[in-house]
Amino acid sequence: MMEHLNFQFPSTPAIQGQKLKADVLCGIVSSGNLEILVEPTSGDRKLTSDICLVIVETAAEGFGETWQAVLKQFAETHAAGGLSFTLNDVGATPAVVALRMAQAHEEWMLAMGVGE
Amino acid sequence: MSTRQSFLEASARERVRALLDPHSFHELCPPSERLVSPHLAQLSLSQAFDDGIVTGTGLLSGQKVLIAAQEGRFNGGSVGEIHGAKLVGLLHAAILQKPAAVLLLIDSGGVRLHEANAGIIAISEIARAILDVRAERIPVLVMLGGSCGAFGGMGIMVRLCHSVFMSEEGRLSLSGPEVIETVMGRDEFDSKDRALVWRITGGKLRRALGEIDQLVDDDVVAFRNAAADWLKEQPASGLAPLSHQDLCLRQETLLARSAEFVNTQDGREILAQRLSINENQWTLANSYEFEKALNQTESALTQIHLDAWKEGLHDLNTEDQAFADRLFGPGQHQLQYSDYFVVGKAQTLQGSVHVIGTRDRAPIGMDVALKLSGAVLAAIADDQNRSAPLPIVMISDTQGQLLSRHDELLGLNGTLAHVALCVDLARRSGHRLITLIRQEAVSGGFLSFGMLGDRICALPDSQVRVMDLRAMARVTKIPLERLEGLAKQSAVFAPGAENYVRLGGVHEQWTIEQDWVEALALALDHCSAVDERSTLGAKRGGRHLAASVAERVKQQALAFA
Repeated sequence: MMEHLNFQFPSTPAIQGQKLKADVLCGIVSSGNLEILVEPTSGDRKLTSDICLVIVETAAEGFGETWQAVLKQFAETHAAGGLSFTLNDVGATPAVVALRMAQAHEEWMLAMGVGE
Repeated sequence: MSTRQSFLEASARERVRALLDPHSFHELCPPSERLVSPHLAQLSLSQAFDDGIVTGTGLLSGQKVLIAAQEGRFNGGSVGEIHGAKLVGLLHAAILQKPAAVLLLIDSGGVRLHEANAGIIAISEIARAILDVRAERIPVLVMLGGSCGAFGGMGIMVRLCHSVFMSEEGRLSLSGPEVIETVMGRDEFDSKDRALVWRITGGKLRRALGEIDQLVDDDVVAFRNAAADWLKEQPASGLAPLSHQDLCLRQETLLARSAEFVNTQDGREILAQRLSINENQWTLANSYEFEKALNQTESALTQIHLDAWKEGLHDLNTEDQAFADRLFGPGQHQLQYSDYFVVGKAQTLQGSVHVIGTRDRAPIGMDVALKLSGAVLAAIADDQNRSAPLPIVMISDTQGQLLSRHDELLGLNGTLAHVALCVDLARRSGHRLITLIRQEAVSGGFLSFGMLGDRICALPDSQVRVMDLRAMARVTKIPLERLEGLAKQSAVFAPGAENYVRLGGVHEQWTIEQDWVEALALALDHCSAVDERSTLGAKRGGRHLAASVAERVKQQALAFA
């Protein structure tokens, strides 16, 4: 069965003083892998520019705490405030998740014209 | 040395970006629109935001193209309702927008079994759409080099297009080696023997056989350059539609191939025949060296008769006689059969018709397929001077394609595509096409013939399916009990003619009590040469999304221009 998880973490605003607009898709939905869709949260007033939203649809049940730990660390180490990350996961390991999150973030920054 | 990016290892999106001019790609129905498959969710399976296919517009060497790329790593690039509808919408946009070309990056095992009925109907709609694009003289190019290759219905679709560029690593066939091994045993096809699989389905064999147009190295830049060069060669007036003469030539070529390699079980023999280099050399040759070493890609046309389909015909047996009496009335038909093939003329309340089809749950191999195409070509020739060519009643009675290594080797997928091209020419020549499903209609055998009818009627007690639930359970790894439970609620993947009616894939189902002579006359009256199956599926409530998703892709393409 699929599990649906929803997280919000405090995070440094992705970009200051500029309207966030790009969408980016990273990764592929296949065994041991996941795709991540990165979008600005600016449509939602409750989500301020210092909040990072992560929504997870995963085929592996019962790993809520692991997700929490991996994603929290991502939010602390990346400027991801004002962004939402929606994940379609097919049992990726924490290492793969961390890698893909960083990659998705980087690709989104590039799409916004901001190199890192 | 420049770094080379493997086409095989790239994702669908990476392939599209690498092929098109920098920053020219604009995606239609992008992931942010979340057009996900509701059918996968129902089975608690992971979904993808693009349903495994990227569709968009862009520039190739400055010329406007429409492009689609399947993601082989998501459910094997398989075609479900939304996935298929996105491709159909793109093709419909091409008809209105007239781009310089349509590029299809096929990477697919065929129908998505989790939504099998919707999937096979979607592939049939893709077939009709590709044929409509061709009729508008718009070139369609396939690029094949992904990990899934092109199998099942998508193996047939590839050969409906104008040109195919393929890497050595790509594979192109109909039934997968695993399926043949599972059903027919390891002696027929050992799917673990990688080299053998390559010699039956791989790019080099397909090129030597003349089933593809060019071998390309596994490098996105090589694919890009080949596509750009190809585009430059296309005439400004577009490509002329296939003529009767073109298809007769193709028929002769396929007959000659079957005769030349009558007992061949291994591609080694074909490669040896077609190349001026030895096995060690051709194994190692890059695409340039391989192309240079090709002697010819077609069999010599000696002693080939276009009317070979007439061989061995004899009068109907009592069972077939009774069936024909019921359909046309006693004394109202002149039909003959040979093994799995049935052909002749009959009288209906609407006048004379051609009758062409299969019988006795035919497994469709090269032999039966070439009889069908031969008879269709003959019917077109017969009526060429009539102001209203006679309708063709296509009897579809098939258990699916023949599972045979030999037939796969000789290009059964391409031969079934040839059948489809002949049926399409009949439609465009003015023949109305009525399909009658007798006993059963399954997968590739149905897709390439009966499913192309203007109006498709299922006879009482006939069965329509892609695969039975037990085999489906084995392939999808979903327990049989769960599939059986869901089959009761969902028309989308459970076998049954009534489900195809709900999905719009079958127009009507006849009853035992009905007068079939009248039913046939009514069906002939209701023939429409326009494919309206997706709107029918939405109206009947079995297929809600296909029509609207196709329309959405089309509108976004038109809005962007």
